[in-house]
Amino acid sequence: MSFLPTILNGLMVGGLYGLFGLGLAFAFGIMRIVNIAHGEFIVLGAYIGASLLSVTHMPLPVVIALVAVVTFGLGWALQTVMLNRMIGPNPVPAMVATMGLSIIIRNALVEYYGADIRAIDIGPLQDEGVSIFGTSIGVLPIIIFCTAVLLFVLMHLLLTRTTLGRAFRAAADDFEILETLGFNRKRVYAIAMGLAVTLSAIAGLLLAIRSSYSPYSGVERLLISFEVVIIGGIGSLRGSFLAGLFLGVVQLIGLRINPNSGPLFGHLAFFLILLAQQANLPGLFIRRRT
Amino acid sequence: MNGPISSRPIFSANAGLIGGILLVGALALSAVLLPVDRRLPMEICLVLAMAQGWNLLCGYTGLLSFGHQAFIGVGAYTLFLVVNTLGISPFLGLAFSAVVSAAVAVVIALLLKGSRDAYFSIGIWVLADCLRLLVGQWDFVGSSQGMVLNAPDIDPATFGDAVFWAALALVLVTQFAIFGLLRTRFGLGLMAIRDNETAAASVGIAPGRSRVIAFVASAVICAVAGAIYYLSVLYVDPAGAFDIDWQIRILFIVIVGGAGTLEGPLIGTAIYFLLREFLQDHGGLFLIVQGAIAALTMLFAPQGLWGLIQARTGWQLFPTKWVTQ
Repeated sequence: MSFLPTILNGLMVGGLYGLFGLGLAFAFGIMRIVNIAHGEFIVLGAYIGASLLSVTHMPLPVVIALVAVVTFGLGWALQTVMLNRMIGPNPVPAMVATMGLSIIIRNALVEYYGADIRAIDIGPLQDEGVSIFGTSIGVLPIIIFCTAVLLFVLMHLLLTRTTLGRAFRAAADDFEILETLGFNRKRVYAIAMGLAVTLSAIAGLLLAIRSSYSPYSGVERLLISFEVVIIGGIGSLRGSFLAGLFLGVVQLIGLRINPNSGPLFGHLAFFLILLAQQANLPGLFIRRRT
Repeated sequence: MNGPISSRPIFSANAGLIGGILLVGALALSAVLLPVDRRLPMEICLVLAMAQGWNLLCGYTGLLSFGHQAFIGVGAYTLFLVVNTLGISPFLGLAFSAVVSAAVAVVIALLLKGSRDAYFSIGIWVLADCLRLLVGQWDFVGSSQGMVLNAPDIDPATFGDAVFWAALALVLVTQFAIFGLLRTRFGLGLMAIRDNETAAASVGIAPGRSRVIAFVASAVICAVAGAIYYLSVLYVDPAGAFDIDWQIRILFIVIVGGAGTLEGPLIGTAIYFLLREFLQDHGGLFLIVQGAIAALTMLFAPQGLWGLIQARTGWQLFPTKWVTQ
């Protein structure tokens, strides 16, 4: 048995893991806020998308766009109503508050949709495949992977070519200077959180199309996001993308070797890298503003 | 020793301590005397002990751990392993839980040595998840099926009471040992590190070592409490013992009651169990309310309920703050 299909599939999933990490890193890099509810927003994207698909029968791209709009609003509201009041050198209040939010979302999903594991059915596209390097790869994973790459490219253009993107990067470096230039810091933060949640929710919807999900998937997806951030570094799109690919491959190979291992191999790979980083690159770790 | 005696710093409001001792004593006495099923009082004692242990870490060193369920699981599994293989008394087995969890905590402290803030919080969460998955793969402890305690010398008539006394002893020792610890030079050093690490280091306090000691102490308390809990049900499985819900419970209690105070977890525990008893027929509503209260506390009273009360009144039932007389 060749590992090539596993590796290719790992890369396809990895693109989405990269988006998970990008969303988390984006919020952390700009606002120093660790959104513990990140995994729940990823799952929420899947549930909103699935409901829209089953109720309205709209084409998938339209549903993705609608999920993006809704989740952007959620992220924006989260930052405006709650997190903008907790900005400061102490990261604990925001982490605990988003932890509380994650419990609310998780259990609200259980109450409303039930705790069972679901999958999204989008018709015949799911079963089609093409042959690459002599192995068969589904068309759907390829489309999903291309969508993930497209989102990375769009984020790159946003951050480098637009005023808003420059404001984000400036906010990450020094928000006081940003304010002297006439930007409203809290509004920039709200848009950033909206974008972070949108990216993750779209990735969550795409992941749900090619695998299964339940209200309890959020914890595992948060941990994956965080591992991507640590492996890839904060403030690097390419880092997040490559780290996502790496974790995707490691996880699927792990599941091939031991089908019951769940995310164990990803966790272990993450710890090896964490230890290597601690030995060599202390600069990668958080530097607290003083 | 030249200064006038009247300017020596003393602990403020030592009179409050009498109130604190009376309160804890009354609670303990009511748990002992009230002729009710002792399972709930036992659980209250254990969860309070875990909360005080976690509070020692979060409230007094500022390290927010999302992975203390690891120690609850390690404590419980160690107990079951030594009792089932060595055939010793379960209550002797608790000592093994303490030792093994301390060793695990030291290893985790080494692994996460360079990690601060969110990196520590989620790093330890990932480690706890690793332990859950590894134990779930380990056939000798029943993998994901869990294992049953084989202790033939247990007398069903007195076992429930014995476990309750162990839980009560643990929470009393924890409460007063942490109180005593915080009044020593070491405890004052911990609070100094939390408030200003650079300043603390400049007067000769070792931040790294103090944090590790607090971390190991909190791990051992959670491990012994977890071991007693699973001893009382005579069965342990990885999904339950390494469940993040343990951590959420502890976090809720400490944060809502007031982190960094010894009174806070008492209030938090009371709120947690009152909420649970009132909402137990409403399924997921209890958890949703719990999450909402935690989030609202962070918005409107980040110091927790006891923090609010203390700011208004200056009360200290367990005085650990110094004032100059």
